[in-house]
Amino acid sequence: MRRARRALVGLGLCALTWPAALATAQSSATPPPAARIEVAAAMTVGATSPLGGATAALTPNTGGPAFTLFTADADYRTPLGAELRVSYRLAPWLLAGILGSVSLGDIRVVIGADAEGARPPAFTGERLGQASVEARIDRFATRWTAWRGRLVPYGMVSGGVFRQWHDDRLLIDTGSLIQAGAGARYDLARRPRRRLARLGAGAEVRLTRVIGGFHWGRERRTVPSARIELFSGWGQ
Amino acid sequence: MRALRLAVVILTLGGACVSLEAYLKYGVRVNDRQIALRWARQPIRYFTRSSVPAGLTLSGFEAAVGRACATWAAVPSASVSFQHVGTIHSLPFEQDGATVLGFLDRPDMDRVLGATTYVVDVLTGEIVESDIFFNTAFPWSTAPAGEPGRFDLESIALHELGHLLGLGHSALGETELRPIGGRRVIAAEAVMFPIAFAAGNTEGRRLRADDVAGVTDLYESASNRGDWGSVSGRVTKDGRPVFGAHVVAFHPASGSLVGNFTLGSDGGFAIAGLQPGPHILRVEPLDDADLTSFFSADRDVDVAFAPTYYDRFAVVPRRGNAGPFEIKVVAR
Repeated sequence: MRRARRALVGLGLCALTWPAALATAQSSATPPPAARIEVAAAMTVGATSPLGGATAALTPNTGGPAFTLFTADADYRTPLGAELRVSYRLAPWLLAGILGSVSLGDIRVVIGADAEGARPPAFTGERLGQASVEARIDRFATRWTAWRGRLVPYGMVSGGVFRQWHDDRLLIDTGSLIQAGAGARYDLARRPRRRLARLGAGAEVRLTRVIGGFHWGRERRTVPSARIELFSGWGQ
Repeated sequence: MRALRLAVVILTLGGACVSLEAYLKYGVRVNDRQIALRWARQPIRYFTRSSVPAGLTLSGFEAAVGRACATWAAVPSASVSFQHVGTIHSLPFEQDGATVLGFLDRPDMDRVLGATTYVVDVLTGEIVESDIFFNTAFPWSTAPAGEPGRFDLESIALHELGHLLGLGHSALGETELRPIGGRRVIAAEAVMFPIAFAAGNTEGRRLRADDVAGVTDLYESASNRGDWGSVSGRVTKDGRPVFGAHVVAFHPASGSLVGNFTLGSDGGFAIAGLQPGPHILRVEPLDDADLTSFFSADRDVDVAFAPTYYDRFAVVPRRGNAGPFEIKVVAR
């Protein structure tokens, strides 16, 4: 857990500091058009994450071993989601913005060790929805561009809060999350001196540190995820 | 005329017993309605019988009973209180208007550690008197840490006081048949399980989630009103309702287990006093205690089915009910 946290913090610091260190060399790179406002829509997919387990136990009689009626282990399987981001370009290599996201995944519960050998089902049909609001910063490595500056790598960090609900709309829990990752964006179209100045697509991978939400003992967990987006840049 | 409205009921711990319609709580049927037995006035005033068996002291007996009363009274979600009025010479089970806890010598009841009687107003369900006896045929202890080979009086008093409050037996336990007859508890997760832990064991001094759910259902405190939820549904086998199935709701976030039975003619069940959140529902046949510990002998309890899980969560809402769910079991 501590190692994962260190890696997360390290990745976040890297994302924040490396473009700044490279800023002095930017004059030799082709800067992207300075669209002030960016609006992006993205699709996300998360990895399956274990949520912990629980044991339905009875108190044993004198001298008896611990008695387990059954065990239940849960994980959250490959949530698919959508994001909408609005960012403001603070510098050619720096974006700051807010994003909202919704995602939906399956909770799978595996029952085991039934004391009477009951046929264990796997609860695969349970859906858990999540909505989040986050603040996000993107820093672009403008020195490492390719294809005449159209392809730009970047690092990102974001953080925010989320709410989860069960498929019958009963609120289950709330929590917070911090994300850090890296990706690359490609400008599909550049339109200098036009209101819609840029159109592009990007992809990134990231690690999400989730605190709270639905869980059975694993309140803090780190989940990898991937994201692809289409973005547009507005204004000069 | 009041005597015509009153009925006496005996409940026991440890063996052959007579029970009413079982649930987390007992009830009386008035016209077409089932009314839960409960005390209408509190604190519940009780006396202790002055005679105690050799090896015990009256003060030790009264202290053990007092601790058991305090344990029920300490449930934050329920409003229950007791008052020890004093010592009395009259016997438990005498219908004298006084609630008495005391020892009786009943060697004929060789599997009964204790028993509770009610005098109830059958029109309102109000408990007007309740007596508890402890059988001197068994060795007892009131020692704070218990004593090997002696039954812990505080534990047994806690169980009988649960009956005194109106609670029925819980089926949250596993047992095995003894070669000499009767059953031995392997494990239990409710003070209100009908068979006691072995002599010397003091685990019965601690209320479990099932006990708390029961007393909360009966005496929910105003300050906690609405903080709990419930789940309901029905159990069917080959499309037909199952009577007497034991349904357990497990709350993984807290590890708590709360159970109840299918009682309706439609195989319906309801489990109240649950913490909000997802629960796993498991149904099992009632085969870990004598059926008469839960139901009257004339009820046709179905035990010929395999333990089964409901294949979805039951998400219990705060101040609401989850369900109805249909849990389909198969014959075995």
